[in-house]
Amino acid sequence: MFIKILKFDIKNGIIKRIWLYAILFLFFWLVDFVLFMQRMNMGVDTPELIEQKLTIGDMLLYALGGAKHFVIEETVAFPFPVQWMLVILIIAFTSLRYPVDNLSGYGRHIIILSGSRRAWWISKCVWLMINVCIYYFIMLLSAASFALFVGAECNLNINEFLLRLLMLNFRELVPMPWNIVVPLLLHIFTVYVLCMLQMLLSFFIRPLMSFFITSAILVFSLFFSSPFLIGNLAMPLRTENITTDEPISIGLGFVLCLSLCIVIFVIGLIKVNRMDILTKED
Amino acid sequence: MIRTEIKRALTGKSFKFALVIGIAIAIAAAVSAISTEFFRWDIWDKYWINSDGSMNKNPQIAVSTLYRCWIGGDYSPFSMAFYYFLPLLAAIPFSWSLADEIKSGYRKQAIVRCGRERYYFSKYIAAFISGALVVAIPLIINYIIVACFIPARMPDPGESIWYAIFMSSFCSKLFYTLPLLYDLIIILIDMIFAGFWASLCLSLGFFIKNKAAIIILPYILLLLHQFICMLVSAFRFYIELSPFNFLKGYETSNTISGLVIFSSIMVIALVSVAITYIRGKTDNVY
Repeated sequence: MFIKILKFDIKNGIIKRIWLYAILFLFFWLVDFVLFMQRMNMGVDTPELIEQKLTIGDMLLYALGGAKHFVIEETVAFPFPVQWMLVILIIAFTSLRYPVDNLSGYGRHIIILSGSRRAWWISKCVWLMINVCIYYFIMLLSAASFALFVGAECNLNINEFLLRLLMLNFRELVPMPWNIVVPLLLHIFTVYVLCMLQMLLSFFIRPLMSFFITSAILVFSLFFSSPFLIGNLAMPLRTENITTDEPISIGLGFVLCLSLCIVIFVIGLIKVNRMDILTKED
Repeated sequence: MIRTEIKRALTGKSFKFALVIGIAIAIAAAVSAISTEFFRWDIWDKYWINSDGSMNKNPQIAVSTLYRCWIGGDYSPFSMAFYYFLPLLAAIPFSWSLADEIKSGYRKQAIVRCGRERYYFSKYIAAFISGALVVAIPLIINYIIVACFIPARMPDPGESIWYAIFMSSFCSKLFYTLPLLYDLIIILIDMIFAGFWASLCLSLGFFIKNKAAIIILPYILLLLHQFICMLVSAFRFYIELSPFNFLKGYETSNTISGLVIFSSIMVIALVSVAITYIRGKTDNVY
């Protein structure tokens, strides 16, 4: 039964939204293009900064890296990572409505006919996981195609120009080369947990409010560096692989995310089992 | 009709929710600013004041002023968070109402009884007022709280780097001569922007049926606009174009221009009025 529900979710929640993935591909191209132009701009004043070619690692870290630790510096503006916020808020927005709409539409009938609320909930969690994975796969595809287009290198090395662009303090950085794969995986896992949290909250409060809470977690994570504000775990720039200034342990990050994931799953299961689905409406 | 819609907008749960969030952030910002200044004064008292009452370091007294510590002049986390939530807070109270009434069929009933013009005009005004108030009230509360604890010292142009208001900044002369008026102008600009933003989101109710999308999608587009402004900066154009930054009372990386503020507000206002007028006249209600 679970497989049938999952097939339905994949068909209606992913395949029928192919047009959305095309838009996301273009959006990620725009992000890479902005990075490319900022690099060219930096090269005008300091040509030696752009002697090394742009890499896929630069593009991924630029989009997903987040920001350094927030310190109130009265003469230096905090570099608000708007691209990082956009990337996460877009996936949060695109995964906001489907579970709620499904529950007040076809999902209600599916639950009644299948007799299994648990299968419905598990299917939604798996659908969300697939959705997040596809999203980041499109990002990777976009970065790779952009790299081919502009002649960038297809590796995960990070160049010095990006460190200056992100206003990182060289003295607080781990010596290069960096392993950014694990922090990026932690980012993806954290975003999945955030989306699951949003999905769970949308069963208790309105979807708009759950999105607002997700945004609030992200914004306050920028300013307060604590692994318990899970937005911090979605910022590779704050992990121990990259910074030495109050680094966030990647192991702890994974444990926290996994724990949250399990807690959200269990609470969701209990909620879905007890929820009155017949009066659920938009 | 106008009175009814305004009452609905201001007494609804959404308005109260947005207002509570706004006030909570404003109070947190005030507490953060006040505690920072108290800490600063403590340092002065303990380490910088000599036995004869003179100071052994320049304390930059003019920097410790209400006009830099209120939410629109401070660069604390809560101040920045308020301005990043501003478009969401403005739209939450009433922007979803048109889409909701179109879906429920209430619009048909209302238009039959009071006419199209009155209906859409009332909606527009109610959304504007609710959006403006949900932003203005927290700003004013924050200003009053900070004013109760931090003196309103006249800003010193010699310390401009600490206020982030320079010679070329928007209304800089006003800031250094009549700072209270400057802050009131900033609050007024924020209110007007928030009001028109809420009305713009309301007008999208003609096209978008989903209530959450009406509020979230324009917000995401605004973030995208800020991101694209970074591309513009790459072409050496250093005027602030993003509302998240030009609504504050100080500059971040780029110069704030009055023309940009005025143009942005006018564009949002004209688009929202145009959509409401054109679709309001031509939309098939039945």
